[in-house]
Amino acid sequence: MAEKIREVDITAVVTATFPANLPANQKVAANIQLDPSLAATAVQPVPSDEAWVVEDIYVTASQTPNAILEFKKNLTQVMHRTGAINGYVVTNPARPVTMPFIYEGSALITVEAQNLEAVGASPATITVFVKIKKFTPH
Amino acid sequence: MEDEDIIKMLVAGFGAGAKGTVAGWLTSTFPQLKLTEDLAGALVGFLIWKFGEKVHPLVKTFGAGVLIGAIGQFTKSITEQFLKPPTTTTTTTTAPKTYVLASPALQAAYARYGKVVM
Repeated sequence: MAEKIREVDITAVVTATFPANLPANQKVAANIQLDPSLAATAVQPVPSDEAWVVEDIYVTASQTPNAILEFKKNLTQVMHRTGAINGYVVTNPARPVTMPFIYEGSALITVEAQNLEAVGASPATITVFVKIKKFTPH
Repeated sequence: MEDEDIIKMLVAGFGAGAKGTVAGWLTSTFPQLKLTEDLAGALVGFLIWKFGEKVHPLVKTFGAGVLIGAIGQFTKSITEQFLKPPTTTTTTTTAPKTYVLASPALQAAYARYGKVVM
């Protein structure tokens, strides 16, 4: 009998903190938080019997510094690289469409952020929202 | 007379060849008997050989063929010890790599999105 698969939409919050006085174009590891009740983590594993599809990436307001996000699988394979994240403001009708990409079961999700501008005297954190569709067995 | 012998031999050969089919039928129809295919072949062959003559003399010959096939299978391991087949070097060709979408969730994701980056 074919196993029933449920589709669950979640919005993960990806935050990246750039240290003070960081020059432009440096990469830092971002944290992924699937739910407010869960702790943010730098490495998010996909449960072995599920598949996760990243459908959309957006920010609700302009971020400082502007940055690029790189989504990786199993710490090595680059799955997706965004444009400058401030172009992804949700109110922007011309914001780039994200081509869906899949993380299969047991894959590790990591996100790296690269600042496009130098960081000022105090650390700066950017917040990006990532819409994920989880395919999960009943 | 010789023609009859040839027909008998052919029918017996046909029975030996059909042993696998007959045994397969028995094991699949009555899986609760938990018979191995060799044993099922021997059993069916014996029954046909024993009682087949009531139907037709050639049915008995057919049963004998099935029985011979089963006995041949039983004794295969013994005969192989004495008559070892020549060792041949076989070149194995690697089948083209296929990716099996084992996870139903992954299959569902593919069905939903079609071609996506993975």
